[in-house]
Amino acid sequence: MTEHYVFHSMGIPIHITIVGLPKKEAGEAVKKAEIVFNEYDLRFSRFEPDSELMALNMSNGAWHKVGVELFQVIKKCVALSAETDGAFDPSVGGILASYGYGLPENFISPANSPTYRDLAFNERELLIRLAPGQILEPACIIKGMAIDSAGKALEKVPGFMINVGGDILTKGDYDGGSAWNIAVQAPNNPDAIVSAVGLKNAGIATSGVYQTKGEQDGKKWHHLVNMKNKCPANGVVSATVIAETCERADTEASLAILLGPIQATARLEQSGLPYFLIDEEGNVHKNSAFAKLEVPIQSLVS
Amino acid sequence: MTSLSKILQKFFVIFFTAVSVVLVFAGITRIKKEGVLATATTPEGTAPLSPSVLSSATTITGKAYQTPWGNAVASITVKDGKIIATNMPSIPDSPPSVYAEPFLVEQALRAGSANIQGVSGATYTSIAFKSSLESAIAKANTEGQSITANIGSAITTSTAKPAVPKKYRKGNDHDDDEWDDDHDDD
Repeated sequence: MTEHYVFHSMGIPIHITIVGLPKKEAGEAVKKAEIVFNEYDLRFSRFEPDSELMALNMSNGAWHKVGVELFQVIKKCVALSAETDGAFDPSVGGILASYGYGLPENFISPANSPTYRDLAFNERELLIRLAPGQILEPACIIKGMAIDSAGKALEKVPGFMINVGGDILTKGDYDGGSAWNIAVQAPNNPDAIVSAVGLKNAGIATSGVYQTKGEQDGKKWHHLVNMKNKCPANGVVSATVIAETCERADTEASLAILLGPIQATARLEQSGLPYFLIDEEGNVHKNSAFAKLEVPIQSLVS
Repeated sequence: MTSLSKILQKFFVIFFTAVSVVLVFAGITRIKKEGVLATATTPEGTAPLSPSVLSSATTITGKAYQTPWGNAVASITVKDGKIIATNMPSIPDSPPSVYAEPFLVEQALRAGSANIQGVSGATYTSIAFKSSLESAIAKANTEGQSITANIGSAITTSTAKPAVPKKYRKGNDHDDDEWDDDHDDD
């Protein structure tokens, strides 16, 4: 018994496949997952005027009280920023906003862009202080967290796949004990895939700069900006990472783009996570852990 | 002599025991790393959602944008100058159409006969949805519907709020220069 559901949340369609439950129960389970996504969207969206993140972004240099989840998210972002020496920086929100990608109302652009080092935390009171005009965008963590959390809501479902704009969490078996076959999108052709893996109980995320649709006043941009030089990152055009959670997979995939091929490969090798990178020349960089999960595409296409 | 050989014996016993312990330990950590991946664990309280559709509202559909999942078409429901719902009705209630390399019989893939359950890729549809939504809002304006409220106050049916730029959230005159294009490139 396989049921498919598609709904819309967090700005994207979400596709959930449920295996091994009667239709009614499957529907109820998906409803729970949908509530989780909607809640994440309402709380952590940089675009949502009433979101907790929006309130923080509008705090304009004053100490601001946040919930424990947002506090932890921002702390995680800062830890990642430190690890990557600022290549990843949640302050990217300000740069994205300047491209016209979700600017809060009455926003005054600061003279020099603040970084994660300008953030101050009060652990006891759960207070965060941003630099004036600093806009945080922790989306790369939030999306994965939301998927994992929705997965948690589907705990009692024997087998499921949650696909949120290409970030996928799988649990259990797909059909009669087989793995979930997940393909990797080709960066240069929306009608093509470049690889496929068989997954059970794992998250997979692909980050890419090939969807560079954005153009503001003739300037091309994409959402992955290396905050060290404030430029959209280059070198890796597509990064796929598999991990136990979508949060980890998504974070590592995004970082791979930001860090560029050499640093990304080093970081991923150290993590031991299965990865599949495509560089600007179209070369594939993958490890044996990924190769082990790979399924020949031909065998999947009748 | 005997004491020396005893010491040597002791040394070898301890040495090889230590080495094997280290090797076993290293092996275990490796296996743990590569072993079965566990499912996600993020606790989350959930709030109930109250979907409601109001009558006497107008629904306006935007342009279709192509995505790997099929065409994305957004619609908005406007009542009394307020957007009360946003939706993307044309995303099929079926597995996403799977596309493969052109040499792999594309027709079969589109028909869903490939044994592929999902495609991992950079987020396409958010951009498509946004574009479609923008066109729906633009159309609403030309059809004499003036939108005054924030999308944030909208009641959604089965959908949540998409990423909508400020100019559409405000809804009055929207020039491109409403964006602050200054950004520092130091």
